[in-house]
Amino acid sequence: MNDIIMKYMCLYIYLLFMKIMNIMSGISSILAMGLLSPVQSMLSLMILFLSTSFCLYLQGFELIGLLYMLMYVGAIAILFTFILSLLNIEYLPKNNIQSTSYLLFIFLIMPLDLSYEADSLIMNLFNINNELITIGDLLYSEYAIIFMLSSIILVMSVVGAMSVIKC
Amino acid sequence: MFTMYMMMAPMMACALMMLNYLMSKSNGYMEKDGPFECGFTSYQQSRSSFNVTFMLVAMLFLPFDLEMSSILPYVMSAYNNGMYGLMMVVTFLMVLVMVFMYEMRLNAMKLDRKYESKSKEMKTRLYS
Repeated sequence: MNDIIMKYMCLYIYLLFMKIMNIMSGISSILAMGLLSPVQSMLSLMILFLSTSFCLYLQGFELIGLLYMLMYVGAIAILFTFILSLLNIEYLPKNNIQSTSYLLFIFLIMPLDLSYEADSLIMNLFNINNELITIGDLLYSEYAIIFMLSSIILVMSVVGAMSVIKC
Repeated sequence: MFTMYMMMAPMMACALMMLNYLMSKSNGYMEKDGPFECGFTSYQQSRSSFNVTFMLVAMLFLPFDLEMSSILPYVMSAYNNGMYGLMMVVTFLMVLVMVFMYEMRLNAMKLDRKYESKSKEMKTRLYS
């Protein structure tokens, strides 16, 4: 009896957590675009990264969820925060309407749902237990050209950093 | 059992914090509650310029970290990819090693780097 209660509570907490993370990612994405001050926008961007990583992890995509946390929060958010500390921006609202209302109005008329079914975008729904091995099987043999393209993108980013600091 | 631990640990932390909040005395004045700036009073943000090398450390961390995470799936599937996969990974790494050598050759991370215009140097060398 206790086991059943524990399982029910675990499932309930799990679902609650996932729904909270889903809602939080949606709200923080709108806030990241709509807020005026860059510091507040940066904070909502970090909340977006974290909640999206939680959503992905809880749905079973463990590798990509952890990679989101590692890459987005660990590298990109840190970089944005450092660059934000250098800029001296002060955004003031024009007229009386806030810019968030413009964004929400555009969202009202933009069709964001692609269909009424839950898994409309997914083509194959297999049970994958070893995401890392599957990605490794494909990335280095069949989609190797994309791998080489990513190397060139990383080269360009380093060259861009060198040219920015006038080296 | 782990679920019990995950529920009890935050409850314990919150209980101890509430106990501290309820039972403690607090005499707060401005010097104690405000931010500490080595004794100076700070009413606005005080920023000063710093060396660009510090920014470059954070900026260049990103491509090399992404390179590491692109190498990550290979270590699990090296046997499945065989020689072709190895050659792909070696090419990728060689490209990035060349970029790293380029960055090292430019002395980008030196703290006391002086910016000298190379065209001016060449002009004086032509005339003298």
